[in-house]
Amino acid sequence: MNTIALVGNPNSGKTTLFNALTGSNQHVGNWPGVTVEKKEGKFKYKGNQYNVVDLPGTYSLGAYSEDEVVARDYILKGNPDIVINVVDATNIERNLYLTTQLMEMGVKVIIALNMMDEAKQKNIEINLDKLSKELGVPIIPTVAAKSQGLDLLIDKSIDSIKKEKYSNKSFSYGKDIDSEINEIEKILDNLDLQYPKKWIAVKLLEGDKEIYSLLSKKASQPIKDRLIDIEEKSSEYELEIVDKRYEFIGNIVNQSIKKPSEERETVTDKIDKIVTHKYLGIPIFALIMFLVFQLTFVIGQDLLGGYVADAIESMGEFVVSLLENINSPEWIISFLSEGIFGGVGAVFEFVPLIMVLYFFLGILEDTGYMARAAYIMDGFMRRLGLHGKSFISMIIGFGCNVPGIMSTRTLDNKKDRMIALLINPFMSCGARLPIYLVFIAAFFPSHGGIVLFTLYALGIIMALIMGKIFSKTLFKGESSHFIMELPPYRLPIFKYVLKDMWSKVWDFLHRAGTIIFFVVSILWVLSVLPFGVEPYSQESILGRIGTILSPIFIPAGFGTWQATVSLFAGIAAKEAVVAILGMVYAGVSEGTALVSAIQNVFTPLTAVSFMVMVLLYTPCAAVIGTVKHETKSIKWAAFMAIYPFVMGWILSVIVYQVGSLLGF
Amino acid sequence: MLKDVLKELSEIRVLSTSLIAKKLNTSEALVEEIIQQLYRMEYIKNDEGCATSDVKCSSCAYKSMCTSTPIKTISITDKGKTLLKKL
Repeated sequence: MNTIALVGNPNSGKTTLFNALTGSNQHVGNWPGVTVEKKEGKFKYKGNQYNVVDLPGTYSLGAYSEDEVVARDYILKGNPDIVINVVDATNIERNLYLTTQLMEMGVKVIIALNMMDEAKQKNIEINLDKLSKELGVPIIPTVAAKSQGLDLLIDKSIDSIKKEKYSNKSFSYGKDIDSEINEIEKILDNLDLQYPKKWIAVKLLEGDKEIYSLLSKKASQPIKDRLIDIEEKSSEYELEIVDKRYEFIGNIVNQSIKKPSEERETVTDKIDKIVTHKYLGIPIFALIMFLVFQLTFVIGQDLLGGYVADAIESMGEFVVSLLENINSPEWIISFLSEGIFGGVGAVFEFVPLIMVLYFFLGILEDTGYMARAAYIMDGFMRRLGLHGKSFISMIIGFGCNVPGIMSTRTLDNKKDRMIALLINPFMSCGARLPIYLVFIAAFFPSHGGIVLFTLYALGIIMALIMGKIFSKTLFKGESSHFIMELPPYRLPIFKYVLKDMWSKVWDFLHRAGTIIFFVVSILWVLSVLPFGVEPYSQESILGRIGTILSPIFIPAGFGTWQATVSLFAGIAAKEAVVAILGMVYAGVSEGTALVSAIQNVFTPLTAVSFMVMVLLYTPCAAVIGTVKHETKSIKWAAFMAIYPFVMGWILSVIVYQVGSLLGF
Repeated sequence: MLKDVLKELSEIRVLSTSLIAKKLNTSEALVEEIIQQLYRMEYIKNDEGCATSDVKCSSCAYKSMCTSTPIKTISITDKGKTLLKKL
């Protein structure tokens, strides 16, 4: 029984052909010693039975992967009677690389030029005779998905099997390498090897580790010494050999294949001409982000706002009255009403706004625009001497600084990585949003979009300034080069945008229900102790701690113990700032909303200076822990805890003092 | 051809196979294939700016906090830089 091996690139239709030939008469297992799947089957044709082996899909037959080694070992040692190389007719350049390597192996090959129907649809014209002549192998056009061309393919395969010699054409790698190949073949002459000597010579020159290992076991010392010489030069030879293969492919394609002209400006190109313009790019980016924030407030606050707040308030009142009716202890009522509903509930009120913001940011990501934003900022950052790839980690940091900092691992250069890591916390993460939203609702309800935009922009500006300072002081040196792949624009797929939005909102709710709940619970206890003092007063433990620390913030205009404890609670988790403010300033049972309470305690100016502090100060404990983990240094973790605090304090003091001087 | 494509990659900021193909007077498809070969030969590498790039996004612990459409970048490896120095 003759055996036919199928080899080809992934997605060339090889398995479709295999299934078309064998139907259900196939067996799936594993190649011995590896986790690579082995598929074998049988089919009957004109009274004869044939065995078919579907080799793993590979782009080449080197030793780059287990799949490649399995495929080539079977071709050379498994002794198939013929190899059918399945080539995708719509992507010949990519597929022919494997074909050139099959030609080097000296095995009987026939090409199934598959997906001919798709090639026709794309107006690709292929001169089969010319291609066959250049490659020295028979070529049969097929459409395996429709079982077209299979009879002719099998007929030609049988013809080839019957022929004594294969007719593959060999090609030259250039005078120097051809001469090396001849010399190596002579050296290997007396060795009993399972592989063709010419093929081994080519593999040695390519630096194939598998072949070196095989020969080291079989060869004598003089040959081993020669192999060491060859291995030292193999990286140069490898490049030349691969280049010659592509030169061969390029020539064949030029002579045998005609494709429609590629000189078309796509929609993506047209949009990118404007959006990534050298001077317009950044203003367009700024405008888009401003519109996103503005729409967030129009939809999230004006249309949807209030529902959640009302629902939480009603739920809180219901729970309180229920507990009062069953004569629950006062401390339980206080914990639930002021601690949980007043504290944690205050965070939940802003879920509609957060949902809408994530929805619009998701659209920007899904359309491919955020990649352009990274490209635009890359150009700007390079002019400042910073690594543009940092902006990619900064974009991630807008969601959460923890993955933002971890993504700096992809920066190879230590200088670039450390700078990107240290400036990432200036990206205003999702957890800080509720804080801004509370103060915007209190003092700037009609200007939410511009205030939010200004805060985010300030964070980016501070990141760039600090990045520049670090690159001139702590981390001098050259930045490494990289290239960005801009995906084509596409219409957003709303199903995925909504799924992603919900995933982020759920994560936010989960954190509120766990970490924030825990932080609020602890601080609630501190705010009602010692027994006998008025709860949430300056005389409580929490109040006393806040009073000791609050003078730090007097120059910034919010030197109250309540603001102080909320900021320090925010080091545990940023959402806790709103939760603690809600707890200490308002409670459901008192019927005082947090927003109203803040309006009585802050002014528009101190609100702005407080938000600037929140934007810039010490990141949350998870971020500090991540810095420690990524840098393996307590020193950098401590630096990350302290320097943003100092920057935030300086900026918020400047805002307040200058604002006061100007009469705000 | 490989060296030419690698040299072009060392000079650009955004990947455009059509522009490289035009400059080298060859087809886009061949340029794309050569770029894939450069990856296989480890002259270049890519990443998606992910914190955990060896894990699929769908199974990543940070997927809910991360960007939903990773931005892919290509950088030249030390092997690639050594080759460029020789050119």
